[in-house]
Amino acid sequence: MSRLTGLLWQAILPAALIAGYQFWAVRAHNPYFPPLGAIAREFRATWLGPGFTEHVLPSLWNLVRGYLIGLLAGVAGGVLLGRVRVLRDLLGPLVGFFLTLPAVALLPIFVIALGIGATMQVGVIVFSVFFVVLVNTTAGMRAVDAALIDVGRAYRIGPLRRLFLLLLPAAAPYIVAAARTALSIAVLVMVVSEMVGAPYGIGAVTLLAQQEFQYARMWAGMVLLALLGYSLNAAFALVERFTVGRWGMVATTGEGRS
Amino acid sequence: MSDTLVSVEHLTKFYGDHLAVDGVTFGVRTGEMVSIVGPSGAGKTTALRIVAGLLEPTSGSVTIGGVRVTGPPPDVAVVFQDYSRSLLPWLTVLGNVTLPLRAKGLSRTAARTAALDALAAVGLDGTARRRPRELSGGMQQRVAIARALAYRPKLLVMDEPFASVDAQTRMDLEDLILPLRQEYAVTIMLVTHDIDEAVYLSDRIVVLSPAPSTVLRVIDVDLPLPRSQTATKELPGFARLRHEVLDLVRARTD
Repeated sequence: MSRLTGLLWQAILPAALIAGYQFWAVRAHNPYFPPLGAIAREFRATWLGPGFTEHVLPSLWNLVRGYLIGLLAGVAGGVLLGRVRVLRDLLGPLVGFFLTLPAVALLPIFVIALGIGATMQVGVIVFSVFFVVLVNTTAGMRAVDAALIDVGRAYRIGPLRRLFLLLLPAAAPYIVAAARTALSIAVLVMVVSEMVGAPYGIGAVTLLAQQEFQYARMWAGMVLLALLGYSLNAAFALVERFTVGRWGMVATTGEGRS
Repeated sequence: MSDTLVSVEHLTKFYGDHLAVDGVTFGVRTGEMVSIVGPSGAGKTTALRIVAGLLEPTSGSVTIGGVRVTGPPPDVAVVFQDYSRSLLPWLTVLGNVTLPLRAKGLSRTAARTAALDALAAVGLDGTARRRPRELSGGMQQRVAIARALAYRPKLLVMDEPFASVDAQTRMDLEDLILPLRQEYAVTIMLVTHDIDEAVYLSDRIVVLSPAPSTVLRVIDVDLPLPRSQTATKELPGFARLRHEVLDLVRARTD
């Protein structure tokens, strides 16, 4: 019961905002801000018809590929940087430089190098995810309690078990937090990359709608992206709860970038 | 019975310019329980870490069963001071105890059997599926002890193992260790700053001076076995030994 009332409380403000918008939009007849009904109709027509396979699925497929590649490469690189001092000293400044560089600003370079299309889009997502995960995994590996390292050494735990059963779980609060930050960055980069000359994808359709004065369709794009971001974040909260949460660890706030 | 298992010879350790351990020599016989005591900062833990192969000495040597220690030896198990940091919170109790056994090459079933036996021996039946943080501090340290015993070491090295639990739990754990020595036929080297504990548990006590540490005296504990928290501690011999060790430890700190 208290959980239900909690949910109700949380729903009050969003519901009020939506209702307020609708109340105003119906009366204002402002072409830039269509009423909810029009947005819902466009949402169905644009995203749930043939548009689903034409635009939504390719976008998601790029997102999944780019995110997973960036995540795995970032964790692997972070393990190396965290454990090997020479590498850390050698690559540290470079990694710091790339971390502060917004992936979106590098889009022109990616377009030149990879052309316009899925390869470029996946590439930018990989790039944006990689450095966030790399830096935080490195920090996580550095932060593994010396007592645990001693346990691993004293009991002669071999390299594979040491990595997967000792070091990576110990660094998990950092890695999970980074993976979560990286996911929202990946969604952002996915959309922006599709706004550069792409013939398909959620970002492309949304931008085109704005340029063609199809404002209801543009809003439908916003709604889809909001839903996507929200559900991915919620899914991630579950992942967190069943890993670090269950171990009594707290996810360390990741170092991200905007 | 009286052959030497561990021999520590002229052990010296510098941390930078700071001389922590200065030519420490002592031996531990097979089956014996030897305590290392000394004032805090006396390089007890340093000496223990070198014996366990976790730290390199600046000079001198440690040999265990005739083999010179150059890294963590295969037949040495360690119980660390801080159970909350030395158990893996993402593994179950069983997972924590089996991990070193699996790493040693035991099959899944053999490791499981050995782990369950050790858990039963430390009085933790029925906790195998729990996670460390669901157990009390004393129970967590029992898990760490079970992990060490299941490893079937020749030498068990314990670094202030009962320092982070309350007094009652501490007595329980001390009385747990005594019979397990026989059951697991293990030689024990214990670092402690608690003189009563050293006298109560040990066959011999190595008293170290403050840093730079040297061996002040090696004292034979001739108290009868089995020992008991009440009867043993009331013996005149207990008081005499306690007095002797305390004088040595305090004389050098004042």
